[in-house]
Amino acid sequence: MKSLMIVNANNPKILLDAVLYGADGVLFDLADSVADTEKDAARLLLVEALRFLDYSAVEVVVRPNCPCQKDFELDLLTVAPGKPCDFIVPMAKPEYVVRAAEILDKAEAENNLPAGEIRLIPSIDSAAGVESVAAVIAASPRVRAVMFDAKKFLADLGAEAGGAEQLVYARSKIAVACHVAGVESIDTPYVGKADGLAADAGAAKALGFTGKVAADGKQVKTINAVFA
Amino acid sequence: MKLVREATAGASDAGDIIVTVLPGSEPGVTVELKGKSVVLKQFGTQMKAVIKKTAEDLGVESALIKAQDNAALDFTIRARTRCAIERAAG
Repeated sequence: MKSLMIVNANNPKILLDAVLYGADGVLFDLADSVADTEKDAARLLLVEALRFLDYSAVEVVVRPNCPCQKDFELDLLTVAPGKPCDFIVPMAKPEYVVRAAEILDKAEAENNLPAGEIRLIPSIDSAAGVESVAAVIAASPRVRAVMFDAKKFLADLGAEAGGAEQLVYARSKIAVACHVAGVESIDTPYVGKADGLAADAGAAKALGFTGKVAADGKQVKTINAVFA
Repeated sequence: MKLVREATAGASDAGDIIVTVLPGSEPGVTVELKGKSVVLKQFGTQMKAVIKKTAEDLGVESALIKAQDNAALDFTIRARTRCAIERAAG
C-alpha cells in the first residue's frame, strides 16, 4: 500500500467520494476528525457506508478511538460487521494490540466472518511505541503493517515539530522492525507546504518505509509516484 | 425499543440528513419528511420507507420521526435514523 488517504468518517459526501482520488487505501477516521459528541453517529454512518458503497478498489482501514477510551471497543464491534480490511491500533503498545485482536475475535464470531480476516495496523504515536515497535508487531498475527504518527511522537517527546532530521531515529527503527517482521511500514502524514511533500516522502522511503499517509486527496498522486 | 426523550442526529451538509425522533403519543411510527420538492416527488416515498423500516427493525413501536433531507443516500438515512433512535432511547 503506497498511499493511505485519511478521511473524516462522519461526512456522507466524503465517504462517497473517498475512492475517487487514486489512493491504494482509505483511512476512515473515527478519532481525531470526529467531535466527542458525534462518535456514535460516525461509527453508525461508517458501517452503513461499508455495507452500501463499493470500496472494492481500495484497502479499507478504520482508525478507532484510543484503546484507553470506552469508544474503542464500541468502534470495533460496531464497524467490524462492515468487513473493513484493517483497524488501526492508536497509541500502540503490545497489550493494546492483544486487546484489539480479542475484540475482533468476538466480532468475527458474532458476525460469521472468517476468523482472523480483519487485520491490525498499530500506530506508533509515542517514544515508548518507537522503542517497543518489534514487540508491538509480534503481539498478534493480525498485524499487517505499522503506521507512524510523527506529530504525536514529537508531542510525546516534548519537541517542537521541525524537519525530517528529527524523525530519522524513529523512522529507521520502525522501518527496520517492519522489514524484519515482513510487514508494511506507513509513514506519517505530511502537513507542511505542498512543495515539500515529495522530499518528505522520499526521506521516509530512503529509510525503508513502504508507503505514506496522505493528509488529503491532493497528496495521493505525489505519494504514489515516490513509492512506485 | 422504548423512546424516553427527543433526540436528533445528522447535519445540514450536502449529502446528509437531520433526523429528529420523538416518543410517540399513539402506537405506530409516523414519518414527516422535508427537503427539495423535486427530490421528495421522486424519492420521498422510498426515503420514508427506509426511515420507517429502520425504526421498526430496531423495535420502535411508537414514534414521530421528523427528517430534513439534504440529498442523502439510503446508507446515510439508515445511519442517522438509527443514531437518533439510540440517542432517544438512551
